[in-house]
Amino acid sequence: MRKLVRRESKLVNNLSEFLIRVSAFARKEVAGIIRQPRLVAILILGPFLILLIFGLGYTNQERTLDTIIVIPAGSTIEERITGFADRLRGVNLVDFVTSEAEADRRLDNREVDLVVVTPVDPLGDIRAGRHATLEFHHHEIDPLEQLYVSTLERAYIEAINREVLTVAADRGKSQAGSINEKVQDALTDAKALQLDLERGNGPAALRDLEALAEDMQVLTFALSDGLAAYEGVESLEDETNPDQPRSIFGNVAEVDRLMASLALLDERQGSYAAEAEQAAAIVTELTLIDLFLEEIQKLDSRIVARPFEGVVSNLSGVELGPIDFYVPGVIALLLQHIAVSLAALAIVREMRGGSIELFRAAPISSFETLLGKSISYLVLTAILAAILTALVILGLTVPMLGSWAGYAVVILALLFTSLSLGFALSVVSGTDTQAVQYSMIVLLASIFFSGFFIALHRLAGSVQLVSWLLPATYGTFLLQDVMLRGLPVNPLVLIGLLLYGFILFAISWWRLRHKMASV
Amino acid sequence: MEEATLGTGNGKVIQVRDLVKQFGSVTALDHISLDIPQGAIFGFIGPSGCGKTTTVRCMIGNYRPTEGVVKVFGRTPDSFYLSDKKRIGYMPQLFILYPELSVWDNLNFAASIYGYPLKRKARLQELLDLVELSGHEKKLVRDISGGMQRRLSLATTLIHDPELIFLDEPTAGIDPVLRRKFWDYFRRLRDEGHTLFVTTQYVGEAAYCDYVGVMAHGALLMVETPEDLRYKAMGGDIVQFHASSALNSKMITDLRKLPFVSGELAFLDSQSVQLIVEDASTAIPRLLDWGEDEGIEIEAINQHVPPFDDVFVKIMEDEKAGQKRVEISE
Repeated sequence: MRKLVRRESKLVNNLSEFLIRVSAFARKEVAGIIRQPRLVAILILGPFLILLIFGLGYTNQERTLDTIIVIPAGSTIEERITGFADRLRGVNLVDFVTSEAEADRRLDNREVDLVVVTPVDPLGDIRAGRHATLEFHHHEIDPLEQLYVSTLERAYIEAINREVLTVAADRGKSQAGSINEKVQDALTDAKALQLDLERGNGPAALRDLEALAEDMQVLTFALSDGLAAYEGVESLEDETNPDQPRSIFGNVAEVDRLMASLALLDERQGSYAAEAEQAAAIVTELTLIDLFLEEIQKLDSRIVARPFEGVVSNLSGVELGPIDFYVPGVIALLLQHIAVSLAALAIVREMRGGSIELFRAAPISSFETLLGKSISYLVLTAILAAILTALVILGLTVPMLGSWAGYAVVILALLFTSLSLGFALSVVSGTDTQAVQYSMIVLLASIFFSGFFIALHRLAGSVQLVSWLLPATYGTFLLQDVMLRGLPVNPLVLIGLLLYGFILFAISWWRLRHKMASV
Repeated sequence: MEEATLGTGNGKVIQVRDLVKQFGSVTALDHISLDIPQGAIFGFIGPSGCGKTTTVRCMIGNYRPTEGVVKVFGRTPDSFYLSDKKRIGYMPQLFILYPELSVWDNLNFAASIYGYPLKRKARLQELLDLVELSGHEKKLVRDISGGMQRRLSLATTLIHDPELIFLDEPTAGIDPVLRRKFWDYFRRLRDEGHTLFVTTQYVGEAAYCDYVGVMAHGALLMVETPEDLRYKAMGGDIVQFHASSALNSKMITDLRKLPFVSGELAFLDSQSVQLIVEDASTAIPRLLDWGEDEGIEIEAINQHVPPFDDVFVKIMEDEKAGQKRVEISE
């Protein structure tokens, strides 16, 4: 019994000494940093100022390209181009010129950003079965700006094509009136055919059928010519669906089929009950065509030219500005950098300063040393994170849609793993300078690979492995979820981040243990 | 070389046998052997770079011996338990505390890494009083003088009241008055039962030690009590006399032939001579008799105690001349 009490007492004593040794670093590091007010100011205000300047300076405005449009002499579309071009977004029309060489010279001199060369005779090109081509000249070397010009080119061409289709639809509408007369002629002949067949008058019915065939020929031609613009819309209907109303060209085809059947009519036949039913069907189809033409006349040509439009709905329920989007990434990046830099210098400074010599002789283990430093830096960086977060939320009015508890968990995990990464760098560094260089490399890698500026899905799979070696990648991902989407913390990503942190901590411990052993 | 074995009747705190430490092709320690008893001050003297610090580092476990055995408290340093380390205090040669922390913070930190209980204010104050840093608690270490930093370093070494204290040149850069205080405190610690292993370049400090080891070029030349060190280094006691008239060649030849005189005579002037004898207390009356017999009036005669600087120079010169190293045994 006495032995057990002694053992318990020894255990408590050992635990107490363990905590005292670990706390040694917490007090030392905190006291060391607090005694350097300039450092504290830099650590707190520096990151916030970076964010503030970024917030004030980043406008995310669409770039407007100063543009010259070249309209060659004798162009058949000059009037239409000049009237149309100034309605385009992203283009600031500087001048219209007739000489392509002059426009290109001004582009070379950086007077303008874009030159659009319009074709001399676009209608002639189209009639000859060629595309009427507009040329876009620019001097951009930035791939993103090149993409912007290409996007602008597609928008420009799409707008022109839509304009052409609208004109075609307008013409179809005006022709629909005259086509309607031809439908009425056909309908009169069809009704006469039906009546003669019901009366059993074969010869008269054949004459009616002949007249109807002529009407349909004229009608088919008129429809093809005048309603071509509507054909595309009609073609969207699902022809395999039996419940789907037939298209106008389907109605015409059905009439043709029924008429072909009636063409085999025997004029000596006594009764034409079945044929009369077919004639009634022709009347029905023509009535449908008549109704369709009436509908066409009521349609808006712009809708015919552009039958579909997209509507984007953001289910997050919040309107985010560009700063809002970048803030989680910036917080993750800055906190990672501060933590990595502090920790990277932590061990190497003890080595260079000679303290490790004392630690070797003292009853303090490598684990206690690393744990003590981790706790002290975790506390310090967590305070920094809290102040930075308050400044960001209050100062830049960045939304926080998720829970604060989730946010705190992510920040602590990010800081722990970043510190572990810093310690790992510290134990392989020979000098302070080397440690700082390593931490700068981590920062540089984070800017490119953490998803801060370039979305991860834009990186090749193998390169994404580098991304997931950076705590900021996990941090950005999780903070965007919590802050901007209001989602709970993704457990898999969080576990991944913590696991990575523990692995780095273990590596740092192993290396420090080696360094603190006898040599 | 035989091992240097010292003893006071107490157990051996440190035992070193044939210790060799090599860094690449450089031999820093060359077959060092010694034992250090409990409750003694062991002074380790030698010129800069002779291997004093390397020896200390082997004893505290910072260096692993290339050959030989080091045992402290009966255990090799690389197998120390935490409880063993708590019995040891180490003051490194260079100041390696934290300049951005205050005097108090540094002392507090040292106490914490030794697991010293948190109720430690009185102990910290006691040590600050000892090293005369009271009143400077709040000063940042970077703002205090080199001597004050040295004193602070000593205070941090003693914070956990260790049984065995390694002090690597503790008095370097400290003024003579404070140096004397340090040695008084070291002796007080010794009297309380602590064992101190002190390296120094101040040869005169050998006088404060119970035992002195002299090192040169990685080898241990001599380990002795200060008095024996002086005796053996010089080859015996030194007696000097002043005659009323100049000594002639016959007198000098006769003097050399005296059985209790060993080694060369050293003439201070034509009337004064220093000679080395086995035992000054018996040699002085016999010299007076010899003078009377020879008709020489000896106006003054006394035992000359050479300063340790001279002793050290003599040892170094002998080492340089390739004389056999002094080997000591109890």
